[in-house]
This record gives sequence, structure tokens and C-alpha cells, in this order.
Amino acid sequence: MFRVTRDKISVADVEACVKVYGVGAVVYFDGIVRDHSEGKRVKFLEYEAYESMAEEKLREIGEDIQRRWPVSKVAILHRVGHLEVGESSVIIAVSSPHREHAFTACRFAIEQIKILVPIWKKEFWEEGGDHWVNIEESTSPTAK
Amino acid sequence: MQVRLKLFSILRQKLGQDEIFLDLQPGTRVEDLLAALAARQPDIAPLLPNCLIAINRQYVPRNHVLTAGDEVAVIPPVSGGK
Repeated sequence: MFRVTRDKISVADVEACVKVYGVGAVVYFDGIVRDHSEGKRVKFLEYEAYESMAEEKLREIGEDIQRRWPVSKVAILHRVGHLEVGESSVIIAVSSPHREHAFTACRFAIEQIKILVPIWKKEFWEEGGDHWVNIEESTSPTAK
Repeated sequence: MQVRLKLFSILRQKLGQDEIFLDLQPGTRVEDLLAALAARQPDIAPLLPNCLIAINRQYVPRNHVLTAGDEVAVIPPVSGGK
């Protein structure tokens, strides 16, 4: 299961997909909207995706993992749209016969997502103002 | 040939539109497309050196040659984070 969605996501959404007969471990990563970023209090986030490509890239990351390690199943969900502090933005689940490979592959998945998947994050701050993360400097006012 | 470019995040916001059409010669490379876009839209020109281009949902290098009917997207730096 590799999906970009505007709906709320949780670990429960992917459990059945990865917890299949024969696995000995499932490792989950739950990426959550933080209340602060580089010294600023975050009010909420907006995620934007190139959705068709993002889903293809998530699937490619899953296929890459299957080639690298003896894992059983990989599932990745990424939420887009308006997200409040405390809500999940990304869920990754990897199952494998032995825990070592599930831990390694889950870590690999989140690092690859942050590099390859066309999803952008805009932070809105409690003090007012906003910026596109990794594109605009957080210390300067947003150029409009 | 006419090429439709998909725009996202800061590019979409600055131009107030999520796509733009460019008339390009057959045989145009990605680097030429970026130069044409910068000339047409100076407001986003400083951002383009940091962008990647995806054609048909795959990243391509600057010397990649465009084909009529390609789905072309300008990809600003993705969200990253620690």
C-alpha cells in the first residue's frame, strides 16, 4: 500500500497490510507535526504533493527496499493538505521475518522519502508568517 | 511544440497558477526549457537552479531532450526535515 491522501492517517491503517503470516517483526514509523521548528512555534502545516509522481516514488522506495533486504511487506502513507500539531503526516510500516531488517528498512524509507518524493511542506507560525521548508529561509519574512 | 509545465509549492504560489505553457522547438533540452521559463517569468528565475525537472513522473538530467506530449513538472526542493 503506497498512498498520498488528504484523510487522517494512523498506524492502524497499514497494520493488516504488513502483519501477514510468517513475519516475525513489524516496525512502524509515525511522523508527527511538531509544535516548533527552528525556534518558532508552529501553528499548523500545509503539505502539497505532485500526487501521481509521489505515489510512484513511494512505490519505488518500497521496491528498492525489497531488493536490498529480506523484508516481507512495506506500506507507506503520506498525508497532504492542512495538518494540525500532533497529527500524523507520514506512516511507514515494514515487516520481516527478523527484526533487524525491518528496523533498517524503515529508517531507510523515511530518509529516502525526504529526498525523492515530491511533497512540500509549508509552516505557519503562531507569531504570524509562514515559509516553505527547505526553500525559504525561516529567519526572513516570506517574500510574496 | 507546446509543452505544459506543472508547477508546485513556491513556484505555484509566486505565479498564482499551477501550470504554464511554453512554445519550444523540437529537440529542446531541459536546460533550454529552464532558460525559457526564467526569461518568461523573472520572478521565479532565482529559484530554478535549485529545482529538478520530472518528465512523465521521473527525474531527468539537464541534458534530457523533451518530446511532444511529455508530462513536465518543475520540482522545487522537497520537504526534507530531521
